[in-house]
Amino acid sequence: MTSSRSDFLSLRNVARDFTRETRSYRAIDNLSLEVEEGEFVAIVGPSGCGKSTLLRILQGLIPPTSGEVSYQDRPQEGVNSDMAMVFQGFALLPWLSVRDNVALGLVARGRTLSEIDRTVSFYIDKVGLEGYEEAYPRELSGGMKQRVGLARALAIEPRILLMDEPFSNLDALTSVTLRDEVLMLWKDPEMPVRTIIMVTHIIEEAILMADRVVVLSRRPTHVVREITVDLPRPRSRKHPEFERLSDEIFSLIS
Amino acid sequence: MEGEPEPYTGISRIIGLLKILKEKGGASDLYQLGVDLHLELGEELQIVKAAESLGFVVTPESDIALTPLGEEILEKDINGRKTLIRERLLTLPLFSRVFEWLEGEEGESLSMEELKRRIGEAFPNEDVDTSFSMLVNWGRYAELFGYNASREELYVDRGV
Ligand SMILES: Nc1ncnc2c1ncn2[C@@H]1O[C@H](COP(=O)(O)OP(=O)(O)OP(=O)(O)O)[C@@H](O)[C@H]1O
Ligand SMILES: [Mg+2]
Repeated sequence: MTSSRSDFLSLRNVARDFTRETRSYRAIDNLSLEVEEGEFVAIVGPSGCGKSTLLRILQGLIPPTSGEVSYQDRPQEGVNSDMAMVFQGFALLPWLSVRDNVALGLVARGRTLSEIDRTVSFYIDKVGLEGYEEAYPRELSGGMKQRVGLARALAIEPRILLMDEPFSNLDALTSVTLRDEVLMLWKDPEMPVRTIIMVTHIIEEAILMADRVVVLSRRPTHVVREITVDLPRPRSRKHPEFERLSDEIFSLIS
Repeated sequence: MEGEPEPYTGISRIIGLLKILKEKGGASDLYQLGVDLHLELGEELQIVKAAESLGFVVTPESDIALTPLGEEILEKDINGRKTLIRERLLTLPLFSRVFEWLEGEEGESLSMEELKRRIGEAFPNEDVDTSFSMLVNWGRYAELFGYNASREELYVDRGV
């Protein structure tokens, strides 16, 4: 790593403690990470090591116990409104239609009705949900539910998209298609989102998608290695370098 | 995994299958493909059959291979894929028949009950419930049909 400090998004010596039954323990310790604008970063690490916690700290939903988060060269305070999250469990409201689920973030931000309408239609179209507007979550397959989660996150037009194991609740074939589509959206010049930070426990998924893979240790977690993935896209598991990277990451995690 | 097994195969799974096949050089042994994807044979064949019905793969002997159309859909963007599926659906007897029925109705819609009755008559060899789920799900994906679950009505999606 170079010593030049990224002025886009960075974590410096971040620690985070939790208390369980009056005893305090450290989930994250001395974690530093820099993200450049336009990067696709994948974060992998052992189960329970603190990946979701790390995303929450990045988004400003919870503060670090010590250390600092800085965004665009300033200390980040409170929730960063340039970020939106896609969840593993989709987090859809069952009593709302697809359209209203996508609108949620915009409603919360107090946008006007006509603006909500326009923006929601645009992102529903972008993620391929046209035709599903009036459907309810229970009528949708997992893949379609996650497209709703994606459209809802994109609709607030974040600069940074955070994804917490976004494909883990999908079957293998659906995941293949959604990964492909997320990469298309990331490269789409009409999308304001330029930077993606994705947590995954699937090493192959990290190498297939990201520019850089950040490998975390067991708890208390910190960065053990950052691996640049220089393979041309669309990437193939058949590439000899793919297997080498995959072995390298695997040996760090297990 | 998410939800209960569906009686039809979602389009996302079909496209996933095509993409995996492409990575394997465009063709594979059917049995080996199932092993690689950790799919039970029955489930694999359901997906393959769906892909074949849309013209994206052929299955000579015990092999499976992408067709030019199968290659083509992988090259398209998200909405290009929907457009191509729409064209393909209209070549399927079930979809084209239902499309005609709906077009013949005022408001271009029919109730689920009536549609199931007609499908049972016109396609006695097909499972009515599976056919209906497919109409709704593939139809929505392709923006060919819309479905209003509270009124239990299928209609022609005119994009309004
Ligand atoms: N709000 C909380 N209160 C107490 N402990 C917490 C809280 N959130 C997380 N933890 C603990 O912090 C540690 C890291 O949890 P986290 O969910 O971030 O891990 P993860 O890597 O995302 O796990 P998984 O692989 O299961 O997704 C765990 O031991 C967890 O129990
Ligand atoms: Mg987690």
